[in-house]
Amino acid sequence: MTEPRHPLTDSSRSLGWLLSVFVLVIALFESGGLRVWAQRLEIGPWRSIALPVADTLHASLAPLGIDGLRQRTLANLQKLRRNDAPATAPTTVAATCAATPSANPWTLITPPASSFLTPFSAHTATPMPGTASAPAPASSIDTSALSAITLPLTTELPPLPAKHSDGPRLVALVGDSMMSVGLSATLLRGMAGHPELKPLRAFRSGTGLSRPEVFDWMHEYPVMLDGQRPEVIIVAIGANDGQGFVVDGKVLAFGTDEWIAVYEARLTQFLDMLTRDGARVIWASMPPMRNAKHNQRMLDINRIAYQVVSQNPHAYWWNITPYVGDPDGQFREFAQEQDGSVTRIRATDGIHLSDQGAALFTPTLLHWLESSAEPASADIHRPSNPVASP
Amino acid sequence: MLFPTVEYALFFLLTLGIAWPLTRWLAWHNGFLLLVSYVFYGFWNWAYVPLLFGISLFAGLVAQRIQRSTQAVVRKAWLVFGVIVCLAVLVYYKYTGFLLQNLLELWRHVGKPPALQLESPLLPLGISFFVFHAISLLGDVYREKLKEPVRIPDALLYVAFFPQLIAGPILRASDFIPQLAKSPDPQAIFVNRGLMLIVIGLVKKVIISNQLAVALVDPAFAAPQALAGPDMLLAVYGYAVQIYCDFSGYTDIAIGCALLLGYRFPDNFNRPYTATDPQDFWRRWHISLSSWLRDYLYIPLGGSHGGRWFTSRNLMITMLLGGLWHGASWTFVIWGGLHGGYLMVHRLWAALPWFTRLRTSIAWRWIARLLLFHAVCAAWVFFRAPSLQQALDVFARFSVSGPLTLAGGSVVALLLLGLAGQYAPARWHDALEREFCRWSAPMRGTAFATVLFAIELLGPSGVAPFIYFQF
Repeated sequence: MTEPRHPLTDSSRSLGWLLSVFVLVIALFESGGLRVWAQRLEIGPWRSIALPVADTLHASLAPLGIDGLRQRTLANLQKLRRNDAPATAPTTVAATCAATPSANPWTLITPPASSFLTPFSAHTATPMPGTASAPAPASSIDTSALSAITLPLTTELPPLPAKHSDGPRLVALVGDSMMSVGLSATLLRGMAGHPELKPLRAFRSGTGLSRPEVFDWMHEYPVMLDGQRPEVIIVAIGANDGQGFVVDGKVLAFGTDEWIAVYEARLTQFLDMLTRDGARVIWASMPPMRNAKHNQRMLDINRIAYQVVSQNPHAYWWNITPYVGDPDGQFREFAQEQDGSVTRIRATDGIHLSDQGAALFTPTLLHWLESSAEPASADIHRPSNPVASP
Repeated sequence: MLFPTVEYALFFLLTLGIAWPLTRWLAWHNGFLLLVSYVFYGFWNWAYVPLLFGISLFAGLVAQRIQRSTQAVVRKAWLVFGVIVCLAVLVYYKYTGFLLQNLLELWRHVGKPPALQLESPLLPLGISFFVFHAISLLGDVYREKLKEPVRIPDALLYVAFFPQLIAGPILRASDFIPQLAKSPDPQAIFVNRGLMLIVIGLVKKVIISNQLAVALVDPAFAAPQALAGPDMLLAVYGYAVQIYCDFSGYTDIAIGCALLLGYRFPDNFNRPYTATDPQDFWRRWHISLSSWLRDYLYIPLGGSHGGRWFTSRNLMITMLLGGLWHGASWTFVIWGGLHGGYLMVHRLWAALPWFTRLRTSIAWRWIARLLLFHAVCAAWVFFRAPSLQQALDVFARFSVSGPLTLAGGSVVALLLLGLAGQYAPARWHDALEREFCRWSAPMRGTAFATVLFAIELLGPSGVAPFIYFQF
C-alpha cells in the first residue's frame, strides 16, 4: 500500500514541466544578460562553449525586442538609484560588492558581476584598445625587455598641484579590490580628521584593465566621479589582470608580446584619462602575493605599470613592497615589530592587505597629502628597513 | 559557486534533471549527489576536495568503530579521538595564525619573543561547517541517536551535501542520514515550498542585503570617523538587517534547493528580531548552530544542572567559543562574550518574582523587544568591525551630532522592509503555498521566471559573497 500523497506536493513529472517552462521564459527575458554573463567568463573552455550558445540564443531572440526593454529598464533603475543617493553622501556610485576577500586568487579573475546578469552600465566612452571598436596597438616592451625592467624601491613625489577652489582638496581613491579591501578604509579613516581633504570613492572589487568587457573603467570612472575633478588620485589596481583576454576573436595568453602590447595601451589610455585635468596620480604597486604563480604575474603587471606610469609626467609609480614585503621583498602575512608585537598585515587570502597592512604606508601618503602645495618636493618617506624589490 | 549566480542555476538545474530519474537506483542516486557535491566544492578550489573527503571518511570510520564497540570506555575513547582530530583540523586551518600571534603577544610580557616568519594556512571554504557536521556524526552515533549502522557513502554525503556544505544549516546526522536510506519519493516533492524559499532567499540576499551593504553599511564601517551619529546609528541598524537577510537568505535557498531534491533541512531562522529575551533570540537565530552548541557543548559542560553560577559559567564558555567559531579574532570573542553576558543577566533577571508578572504584559513585550534588538545591534558592531578600536570608534560616533548623509529613501525603505518582514504572519506563507498548488506547472514556471527576472533587475550589479562564507 502506498502512502497518501501530501496535498502540497508535486510529482517529478510536474517539476520537470515547471522547470522546462521556467528555462524557456527566463531565456526569453534574459538572453541579453546570459550573453553578457558568457562574455565575462574567464577565458577558457567553459567560455568557448557558453559564448556561442549565448550568442546564438541572443541573436535569435533579439527581434522580439525584450532585451532592449530590459536594457532600458536597467538604465532607468540605475538612474533612479543615483538620484536617490543623498546629495551630501561622501561617496559616488562606486560599489564594493566583493569586499570579503576571495580565498582563491583565480576566483578574483571572475568579477562578482559575472555572478548575476546585470551589466555595469550603458554609458558610452572611448573604447579601450583591443576591443571590437579599437585596433590592437604596437608594444614598446616585449617579454624579454619586461623581465629586464628593474622596479625602483622609492619614488620622489612632486609638489601637490594647486587647488581648484577654496574648498577641500579632492582626493580620488581608484582601483579594484586592492583599493577597496584594506587600503581605502585606512585612507578614508586617515582623511576623516582633515577637513581640507575630501575623498572620492571610485573603486570596485572584481575589476581590472585587462577585461573591459567585464568592467570598462573608461566608461565607469567618469560615472563614479559624477563630474567632480580630483586633484590627487591614488590608484591600486591590477590584482585581477593576470589573465588572458580575447582581441578580435583571438585569445591572447597572459604575458605574450601581443598581450603586453594591448595591456600597455589600455593602461596608458586609462592613465591619460586620469591625468587629463592635471591631477597627480600615485600608482601603488601590487604587493607580493602568497601564491607563487599569482606573485609572478603581479610582478609582470608591476613592470608594465611602472613602464607606462614613468612616461606620464603627472603620474608616479610607488612601490609598496618595502613596506609590506619581507626583507627579501617576498610575501609576508604578519609583521613583527622591534618589540616583538605581531600584526596581521595581509588578509587570509594571501592577496589583499589588511587594515594594519595598509596602515604601514598610508601615514606616508597622508603626510604627503597634508603637506603644503608649495614645497619643491615631498619625498615619499622611506620605510625604516628598505628592502630589495624583486 | 555562489547561489545567486548563473553558474549555480545551471549546475542545479542539471543536478535536478539527473537526480530524479536516478531515484530508482538508490546507490547511483546518492553516489551522483556526492559527486556533484564535490564538483560544487571544487569550483572554489579543487585542492581542498581531498580534505573534505578525508575528514568525512575519517568521521564515518570512527562512527563505525563507536557503533561496533560494546564497551562504554572504548566507545568514549573513539569519540574523544574523533572529536580531537576533527577539532585539530579546524584549529590548524582556522586558528594557527591567531594562536601564534597571541602567543608571541603573551611572550612579550615575559621577555623578548623570537623573530618568526609566521604564515597561516589558506582557510578552506566552509571548514567550520563541515567539521561540525563530522562532529555531529560522532556525537549522534555515540549517544545512539542514530540507530542505523553508519555506511561510509552516507557519511560522505552527509558531510558534503552541497546545499548545506558552505554555510549550513548544520544538519544533525540523526536527522539527515536516515533520509539517505531510501530514495526521495518522486511523487511527493514540495515544489512550491522549495521555489518560494528560493525566491524569498534571493530577495533577501540580492535586493535587501546587497543594497544595504553597498549603500550604507560598507561605507560607514570603512571610516566611521567621517560620519556623525545619525549615519552611524542607521548603519548599525542596517548591518543588523543586512546580516539577517544575508544569512537567512542563504539558508532559505539551501533549504529550498534541498526540498526540490527531496530532502528536508531544519529551519535555521525564525524571525529573530521579534525575540523578547536573549534565550528567545538564540532559539530563533542560527538555530542549527545554537542547538548544536547547546547539545554538544553546553550540556556536556553540565548545562543548568549545577546552580546559578555554574550555569552562568557554562553559558559564558559556550558563547565565547561560539564567538570564536565565527572567526579567529578577538572581536568575535567579544561578540560571543556579550551574548553570554546577556544570557546570564536575563537568567538572573527572569528569576525575580515580580518579573514573571511583568513579562506577560503586551507593553513589556514590546519594550523588551526594543531593548533586546539594541543589545543585539551593539554586539553586531563588534562582529562587523575589523578591529576592537574600529568598534569603539563606531560607538564614539553615536554622540556626534550631524546630518544624515549616507542613506536615501530607498535604503531606509529596504531597512524597514527587512525588519517588517520579521512580523509577517506565517499564515501568509502557507496561504501563498496553497494558492500556488492550484496553478498549473507551466503557470508556476512562468511566474518563477518572471520573479527571478524582476529580482535581477532590482538588485545591484554584482553579487557579494555571503557573509557566512568566511566562517
